[in-house]
Amino acid sequence: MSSSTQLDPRRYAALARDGLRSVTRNEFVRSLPFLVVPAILVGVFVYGSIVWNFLLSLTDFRGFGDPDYSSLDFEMYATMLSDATFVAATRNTILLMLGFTFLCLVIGLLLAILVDRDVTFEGSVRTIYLLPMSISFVVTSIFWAWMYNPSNGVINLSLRAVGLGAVAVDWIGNPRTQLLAIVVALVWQFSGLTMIIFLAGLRKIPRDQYEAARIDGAGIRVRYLKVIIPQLKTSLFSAIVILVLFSLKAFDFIFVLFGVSPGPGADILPVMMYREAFSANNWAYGSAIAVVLLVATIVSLVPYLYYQYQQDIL
Amino acid sequence: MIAWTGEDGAAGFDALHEGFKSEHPDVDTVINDNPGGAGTGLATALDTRMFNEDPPSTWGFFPGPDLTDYAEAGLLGDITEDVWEQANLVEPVPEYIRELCQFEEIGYVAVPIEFNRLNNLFVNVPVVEAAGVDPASVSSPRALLEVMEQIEGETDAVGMAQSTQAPWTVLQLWEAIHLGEHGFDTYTSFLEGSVADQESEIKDSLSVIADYSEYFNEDSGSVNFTEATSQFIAGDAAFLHQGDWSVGNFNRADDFAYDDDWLAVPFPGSGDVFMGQNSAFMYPTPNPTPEATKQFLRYAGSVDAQLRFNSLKGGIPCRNDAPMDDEEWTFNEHQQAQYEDFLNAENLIGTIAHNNVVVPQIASNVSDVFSNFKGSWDVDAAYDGLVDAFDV
Repeated sequence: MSSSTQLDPRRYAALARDGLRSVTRNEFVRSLPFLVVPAILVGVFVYGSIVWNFLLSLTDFRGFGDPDYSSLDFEMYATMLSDATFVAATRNTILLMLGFTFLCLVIGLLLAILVDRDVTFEGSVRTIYLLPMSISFVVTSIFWAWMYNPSNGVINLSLRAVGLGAVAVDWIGNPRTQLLAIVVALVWQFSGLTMIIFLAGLRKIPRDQYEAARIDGAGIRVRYLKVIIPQLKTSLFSAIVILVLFSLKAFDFIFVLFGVSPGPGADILPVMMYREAFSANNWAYGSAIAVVLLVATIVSLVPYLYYQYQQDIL
Repeated sequence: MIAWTGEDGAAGFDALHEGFKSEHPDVDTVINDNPGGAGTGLATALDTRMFNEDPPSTWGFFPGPDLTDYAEAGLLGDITEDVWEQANLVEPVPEYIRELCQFEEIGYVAVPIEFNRLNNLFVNVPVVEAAGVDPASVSSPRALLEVMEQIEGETDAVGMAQSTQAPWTVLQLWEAIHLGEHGFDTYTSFLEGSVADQESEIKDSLSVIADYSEYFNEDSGSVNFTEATSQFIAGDAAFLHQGDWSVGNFNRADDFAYDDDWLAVPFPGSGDVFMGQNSAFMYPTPNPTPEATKQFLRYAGSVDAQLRFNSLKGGIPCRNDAPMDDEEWTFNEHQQAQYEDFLNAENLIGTIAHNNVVVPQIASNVSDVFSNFKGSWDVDAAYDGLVDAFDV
């Protein structure tokens, strides 16, 4: 190297100082002390646990003692495919997720539109619809069980009173109607929340647009279908994400009603996971079910994340 | 750690705890209540602590094969010398219960505290009298079908108050039917995994319970066992199959007196067997308070402790020398009759429904089978499920 290319030591030191100063002034670096601690905590306790759970699912660990990590395979996942209980629980989980989410969206949207139309006692109506959200699943599962009672429950009594005795079945005793009964109860509890989400979206739409559509001769149905609802995409995606996650929380409701073995009509993956882990002490299989649940949750979030990415708000 | 946090269970444990404190005032105790879920809350919390090798000093729950996973992991300690021999428990405790409390490779790991009979047929006296039937003369579970038909024909009551909401109530009823219909040897060989060898017997007893379902209360799938018991108390059903813990509900009901309004007979065909649910206090290791725990376990096995706990909780002592005429800790007529049967029974045995007889994985599998069966009453599918359930 020639001497002409060598840096002056003072200039070198100045450059180093400038570099250091620019690094310390960098926003990311300055926020590190605030980010590192939670990042480590989340990393260890959330992502570390997820990785550990996945590793457990590759072992054949059951009972107590130490898992054997020396031979990892996908045996538990292969077992699932031939396990009729897992297939039934998966089917129920998907049906519950779809049915619950769809019905909550439809009813929540209708309620939001109703409340948005300046009804009398709007505040009270909003509170009444939202109130079920504040009640614990344990309580709602018990009183819905009373309402579903085939002999003296209010649902069957009402059906019989209006001449629909033929459809007054044993809602939570019959495996064919158990899931429907659970979905209806959950929709009752969560449609108020969906209403609030849609109501917030509706209130963000300028009133001028309602007026403009009305002056252009659009009827109320056309106004909502063509002008208002298309603008509720963000609310819709937010509601879907929340509802999908809540559908996985149906564990509490089902556990209180049926215990750890609800049977093929009401079993869902979270209950099966708990049963395999804490009743059968079959930790590896329970972990594998947990991994499937995690993947299902992530997959169900992808459309929302993609939408946010497209809107440049991710 | 205990799950006895409600009504009779809490009263029984409080009396036991009080007795221990009066004998050992120098020993500090911390009671960790884990209510709910028929013991599942306790089991979950306990599993977590055992995983961390941070067990409680002791816990009250089911002994026997339910403890196998803990025993194999070295999480249970030997109390043969320090508790069983020092407290002279071997002689007064019957062999079946002793077996539940020990593992061959360790020794004794638990001390029994209660035994609740399960092969009961509770009878609503006014209902059966109105129907003109004598439940004591019913010779087999199948013969009970005719009696229930007669009851439904003669009265407004249904044959049997039953909850099919959760599988355990159906499983324990089927176990009583299988025992009563095919005898002790067939039942015990089933528990040992001989399922295919007794295909016709198992299918037969499954078909009997499927036929029973015709005589259950209409809302059996929507009510829990307490609500079903209430229907029995109200006279809406002639019979109830449950453990002795139901007697607490009978006693709390207004105008529902033993002998006048209800009585209990052994489940048809099983009079020579005392099928029960046993609970015990365990000795885990590493134990945080080894000496204090052993003091407590020695006390738990004593006559005083067994009288205190069971007189209030509704079960019977696990010893053969407990006086039923104690002045302070009294036993009702039903308990006295059960204790007499316990002492005279040719055989003692437990149930899968209450985790005393098979390892947890099998118990969970069998429970799954009955969670399917209670909705479909498909005998062939349930039999196939039972064959697979023992394949672990």
